[in-house]
Amino acid sequence: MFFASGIFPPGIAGEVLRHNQAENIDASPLLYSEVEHMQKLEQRVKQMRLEASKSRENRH
Amino acid sequence: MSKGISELWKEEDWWAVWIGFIIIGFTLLNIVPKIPKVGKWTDNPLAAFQIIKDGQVIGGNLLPLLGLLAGLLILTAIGIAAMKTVKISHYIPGFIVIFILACVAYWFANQVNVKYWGLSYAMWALLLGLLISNTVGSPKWLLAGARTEYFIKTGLVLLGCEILFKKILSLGVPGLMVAWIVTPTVVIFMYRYGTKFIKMKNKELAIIIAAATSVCGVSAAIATAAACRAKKEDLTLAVGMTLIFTVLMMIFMPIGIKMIGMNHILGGAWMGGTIDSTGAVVAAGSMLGADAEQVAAVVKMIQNVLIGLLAFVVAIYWVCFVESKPDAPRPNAMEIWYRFPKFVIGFVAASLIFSFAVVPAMHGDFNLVEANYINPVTKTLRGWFFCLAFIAIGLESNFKDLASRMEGGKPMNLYVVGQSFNLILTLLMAWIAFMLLFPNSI
Repeated sequence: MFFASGIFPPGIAGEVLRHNQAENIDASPLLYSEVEHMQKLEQRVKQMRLEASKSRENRH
Repeated sequence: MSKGISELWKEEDWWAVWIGFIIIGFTLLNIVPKIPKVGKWTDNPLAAFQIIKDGQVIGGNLLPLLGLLAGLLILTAIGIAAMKTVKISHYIPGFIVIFILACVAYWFANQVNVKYWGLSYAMWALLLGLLISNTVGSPKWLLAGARTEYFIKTGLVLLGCEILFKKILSLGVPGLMVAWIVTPTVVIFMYRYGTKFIKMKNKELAIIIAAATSVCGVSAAIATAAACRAKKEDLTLAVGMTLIFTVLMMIFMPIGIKMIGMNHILGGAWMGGTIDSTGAVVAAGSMLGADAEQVAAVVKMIQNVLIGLLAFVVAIYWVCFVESKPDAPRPNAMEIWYRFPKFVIGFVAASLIFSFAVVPAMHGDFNLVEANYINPVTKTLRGWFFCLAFIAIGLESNFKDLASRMEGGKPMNLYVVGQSFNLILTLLMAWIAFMLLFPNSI
């Protein structure tokens, strides 16, 4: 009942939980394949690496 | 030799492989329909059993869940009948009630606010089982359906489909350094520390805690426990510890990182390498920003891929070194094969098939493989098998047995020391990889 109530600890102890609520982040998946937006996260990392590689080439 | 062949239909390990591969085969042939789940809900508990699309209720999932119950019952009962471990007439009522309890565990876990805490179905299933066994007691007829190892091993064969080897290159060399150098080092350190330094008698518990701490919490604990044939109580203890510390680390690590002003990519990689479950990693990473969330999640994903390898190595190590008597000669190849937990072969084979046959057949498109086969079928069924297993573990455990395995707090000592070592080593490696050697890699 307590966990389902949406009441989180005050102060910094509840900061991450309030952030999860505000951003609707599911913190319960055990494995990467259970994270709903994992494909998006992987895609963005791919893009970040591409951009980093381009900027390295430009500097050279 | 005849005994060797009869193993194929008399041993639980082989039945886990057969059932796993029947499901995988039918999935690849697109014969298996989308597996139903207990849905998310916020205020209305019944919403968990409704199918909602664009805010509209378009149906219920009770009937599909009944279909799933029937399907799982038939599949597992075939194995039970062949193995003759328990009478089918005894197995059926126990299994049905355990399936209903698994639905209740999912129902608890799928409340939206509960999800924000990072409390997964595994914890609720375990608690539910423990609550029954330690209050009213688990009746014999119910325990007849509690085939813990059978469910775990079948779930692990299906888990193999989610372990895609090519994902390890997602973050390049720095990601590999954080995930694949630190992890084996921490496993070896923790196992040695547990068995040699604090002299834990229970070697299985030491390796399960080491795997859970360094790889990915509950999933790694399940795989390792099955690979070394640990007792259910050992798995319960390790899972309990990892679930509690995961929530604590998810809450306090990002706050600490923000307070000291650490680079967010470094912080993300650090949390990805140390917090046990992926959901908590994503939540903690998100606190630092989008970049940190992405790096944290991908580091964790690369680490997840190690589960198969770890289960394989632990199984071999146990057969060759732990199970054999100290003065006995090393077992030969035939003996290793005879004693090797065969479901591990199914687990690794499923991973190799999906990594090197199914993904290339889909033109290397991971997303397509996940959308067509993994997400709708194998992943959901794996979750059901694990949930059934945790209910069964809870039903078969009691607090007295759990307390007797505490060895004066040695498992907790191992977890705390091991996790501290993991935190230091991962931070050092993440700094070397992302800041020193490849500062502009991302």
